[in-house]
Amino acid sequence: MNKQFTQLNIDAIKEVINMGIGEAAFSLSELLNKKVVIKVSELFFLSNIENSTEFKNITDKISIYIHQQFDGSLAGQAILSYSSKNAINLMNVLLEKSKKPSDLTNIELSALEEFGNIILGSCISKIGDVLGTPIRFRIPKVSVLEKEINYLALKSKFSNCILVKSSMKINQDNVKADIYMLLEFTDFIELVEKITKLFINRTTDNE
Amino acid sequence: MKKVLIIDDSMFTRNIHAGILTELGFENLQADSGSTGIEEYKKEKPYAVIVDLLMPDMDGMDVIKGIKEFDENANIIICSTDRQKFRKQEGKDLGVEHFLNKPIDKDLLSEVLEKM
Repeated sequence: MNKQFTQLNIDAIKEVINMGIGEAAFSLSELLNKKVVIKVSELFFLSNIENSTEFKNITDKISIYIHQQFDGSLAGQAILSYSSKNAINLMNVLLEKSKKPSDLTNIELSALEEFGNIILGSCISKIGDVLGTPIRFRIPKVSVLEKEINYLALKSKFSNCILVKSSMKINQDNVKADIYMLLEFTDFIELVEKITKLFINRTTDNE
Repeated sequence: MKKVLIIDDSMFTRNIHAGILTELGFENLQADSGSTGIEEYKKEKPYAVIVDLLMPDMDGMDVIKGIKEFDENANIIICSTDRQKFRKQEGKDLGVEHFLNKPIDKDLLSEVLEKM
């Protein structure tokens, strides 16, 4: 844990992220009409992303990812990633095919991009809604990585950021997608205070 | 004063829920994990339980099973960020009718607690 922040501060931001992840899982579940299992989020504070072990460990494992930048009151990047095998399994579920693991075609990559757009969009939109702040999306990009990871593509322009790691699984189809969010902030305490205020005053939008 | 047990690994959420419960006139008890939540329930036998689904030590549904094995009439409210219909159905299958999304709505919580 970062010494600057209390467990309460960290839990506050985690809960907002969990709402985003929960919404992404809801979208995925509705899209495929299948139960999605969510993994409990992990959160890391990074002061120097390029030298961060957590970031390197994560990016080293990625093979296919959809990357979406966002900005506004809360800026950052969201990444939905799969192993090649999981991407093929997901395409098989989406397109009701039984393709064997092999290279993905451009059409399939485009489908993954659109799929990532829906999942990441629902996640980020929910976070914006909870915080009561507009978040602008950039166009998502799908990338297939080979040996070298392009750190620059994912690099944060801020010196302080939070890396959140979670994952979603559809057990019956052997599909697993990892979600990473890199949130950039200038004043973390201000953000936590805002979240606390919003949660305490909460009176609507439950189903 | 009636007691309500909050089972949630997030200290932030426990504090928010505790504040709301106090405002609604309930005493709150807190457990920061599923396993301690089950133990706390057995010890205190509260009027109701608010349980999270996504916790590191065990899934909220298993917590509910543990509580229901001890007290099949336990008043349970699920409060989660996971709002999939499949999860709601799992809750119903365990006899839990009340599913509130996070962040919790004070008025809805009040309504649900009154109905129990």
